[in-house]
Amino acid sequence: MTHGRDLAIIIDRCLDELVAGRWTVSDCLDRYPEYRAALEPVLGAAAAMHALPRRAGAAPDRIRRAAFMEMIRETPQQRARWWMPRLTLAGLHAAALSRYAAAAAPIFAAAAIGVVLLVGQPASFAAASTLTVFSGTAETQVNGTWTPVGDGASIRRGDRLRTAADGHAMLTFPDGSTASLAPGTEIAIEQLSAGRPRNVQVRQFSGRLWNDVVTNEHAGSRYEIHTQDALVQVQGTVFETTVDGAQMLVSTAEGAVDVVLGREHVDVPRGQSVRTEGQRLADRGPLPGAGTLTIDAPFAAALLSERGEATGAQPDGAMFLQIRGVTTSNPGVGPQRFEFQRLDPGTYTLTLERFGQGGGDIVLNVGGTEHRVPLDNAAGAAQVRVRVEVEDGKRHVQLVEDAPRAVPPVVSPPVRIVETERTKNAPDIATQRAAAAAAAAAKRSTGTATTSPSTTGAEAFAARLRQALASQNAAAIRTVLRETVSGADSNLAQAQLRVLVAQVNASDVARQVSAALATDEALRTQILGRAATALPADLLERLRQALGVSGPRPQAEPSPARTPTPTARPSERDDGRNRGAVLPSPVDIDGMRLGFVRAGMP
Amino acid sequence: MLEDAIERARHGDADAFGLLYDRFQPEILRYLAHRTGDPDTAEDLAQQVFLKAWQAIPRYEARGVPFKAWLYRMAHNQMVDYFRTRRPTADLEGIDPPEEAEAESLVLALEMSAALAQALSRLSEDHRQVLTLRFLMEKSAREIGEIMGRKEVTVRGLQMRALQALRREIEETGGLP
Repeated sequence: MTHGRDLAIIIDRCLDELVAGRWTVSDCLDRYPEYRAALEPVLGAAAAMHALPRRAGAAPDRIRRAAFMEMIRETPQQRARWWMPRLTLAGLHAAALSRYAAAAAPIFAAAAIGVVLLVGQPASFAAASTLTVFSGTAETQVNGTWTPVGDGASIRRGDRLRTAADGHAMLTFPDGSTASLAPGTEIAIEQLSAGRPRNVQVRQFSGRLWNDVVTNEHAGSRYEIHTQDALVQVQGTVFETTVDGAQMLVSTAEGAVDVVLGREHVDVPRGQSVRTEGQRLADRGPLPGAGTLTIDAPFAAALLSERGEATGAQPDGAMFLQIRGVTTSNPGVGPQRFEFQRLDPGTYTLTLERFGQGGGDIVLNVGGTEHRVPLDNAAGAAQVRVRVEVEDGKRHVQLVEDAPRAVPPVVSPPVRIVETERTKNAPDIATQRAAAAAAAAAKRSTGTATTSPSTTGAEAFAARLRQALASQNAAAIRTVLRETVSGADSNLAQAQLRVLVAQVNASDVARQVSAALATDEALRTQILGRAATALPADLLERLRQALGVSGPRPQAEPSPARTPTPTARPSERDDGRNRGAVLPSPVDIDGMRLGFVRAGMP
Repeated sequence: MLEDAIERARHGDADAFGLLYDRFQPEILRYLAHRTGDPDTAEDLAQQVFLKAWQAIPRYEARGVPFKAWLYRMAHNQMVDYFRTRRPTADLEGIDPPEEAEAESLVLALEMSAALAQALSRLSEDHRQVLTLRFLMEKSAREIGEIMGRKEVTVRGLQMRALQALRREIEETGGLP
């Protein structure tokens, strides 16, 4: 051991004892006389530090705490969503912290009695949006100076933000609405309320801003883009604003937009765009469409840009529209469809992950010409590249490969989502389709509304089941499962059981459910009994396998709503095509297995 | 209990995060008050630290660094960010002694604090941080290592060099009162 290391250890020991009040400086010097010369000056400085008064701790101020709690309830968490949930996030964790790595600050370390060494107004404490920087540089203005700002930064009311010529960034607001900034875009957050109703007001000075706005039914809810001469206001929609001096272009990809020019209101419906100059409407016309891409197969798809932006859906129900100029429909309610508009040229990767069994096609439709690419029946995840080129002002979209490439899910690229209520509460795609199937079944049997009580009941059941599974509490899981056999509403029970089957598709969920029921054989028997009444043969078999049951099937459990006779069972099902043994093809089985009834889809 | 609250907070449970706030906010506030010298600034910075912690906790992994050390790192970075973006508008000459400074002992303490603060201000940020944590927050070398992301043996060397540097600065500024 070197002298220096010896000394460091001895000093550390002395500091432990000094701070604990067990030794004085003299005690330490006496104990290590051979180090006296080296120790004396160091311990002198240590004694001076130790003599400084220390601040007392106190419980958090109640008013501040209450305000803080209200704040975090409205502030989204940053949660990276990966294509497969089992990936570790260590790398991302490091990246998130790296932004804080900064040069040493020119400060005085204040070990003083209430001595104010620095004067300055503390930063205001307000609702925050979260910045995602996909590539290049983003900057905020602080005291008149532009300062680079990193991924994960909180952007608050009053903050000004801009992207450099290479910067691609996105703001996620507390309600889950997002605004994606193209390179060379400058904005200021004029209002940002975390409460309900929503109040997001952004001033746009230049560049392109692609807005994905969550529908908010609260009276007085606002999402507004202010420019020099105009106001753009919306409720729930997808639109883009491009500002160049006094000129502005507003394009509506979904929903409708209200552009206010002085006293005049200009409606911009879906698929339309308007150009304004000052407070004058200069031009309006249809938004040029560059084609559509439909996933006619049980896969959730996401289009990924080379920079890491993504537009699409994941099997867990999360949806995201981060790439400017392309929209997607929800695969939970029907075949997922991408619509290309002012998409930047480049090569994109279409990544697909299976949420149900069966095959199908990717259908690219450009100018009325269809190009079909089959999807492998067996692939769990697949990729195909999509190239977008611009020629003579027109966009050309084409698939680079003739067939999607099956990929191991773990190597699929990540989708970066800031977790908000919007994503946290989204039912997974399989559950949405099961609910849609239940709604379709209810519609067929009653000829009434598409959103039946059993649909909403099934969604609520799915949410409770997910919560219980997340808690990993077997008793909580059993409590939720008991709902499938305790109610008198057989439609609801059927919908709940479909949700259960969709959930146990994942092997880890199946193991959890099976383990939870291992200690309650009676409940397992009841569930299987009711499933025998309510579910078609293939779904019942899937459930039995998931619960680890083999051998003869249980007898159908008597239902208070129906007489469990074999002749009564078909009428309880969604669709004649899906009746277990009489199914004409495996594809139909798969569709039914997830409760997806094609005839009921939009 | 702590692990449970962290896990729940990671999954978006605000009440669970409230428990973590109750447990750790006083200490983080105290650290920031020592580092900034201004209780109001420290309060605001602490709120921002916990807001950031709420946003980032889904990415927190217990295997990496203890939760408290994770908060300390955030607090330190928040403080550095704060001072990096706000130019100081006062210096030591602008220090006002407290009104109740008649008592000789308090005056001496204040003078000593000011002299120490001046000496500390000339140290590197690493040295200031290690001394604050060691003496004002009463952390061990191991705990400081967790907070600063250094090995314990490195912290021992760092604190020795920090004290040596502090001694030199004190002597260059005329010694302590």
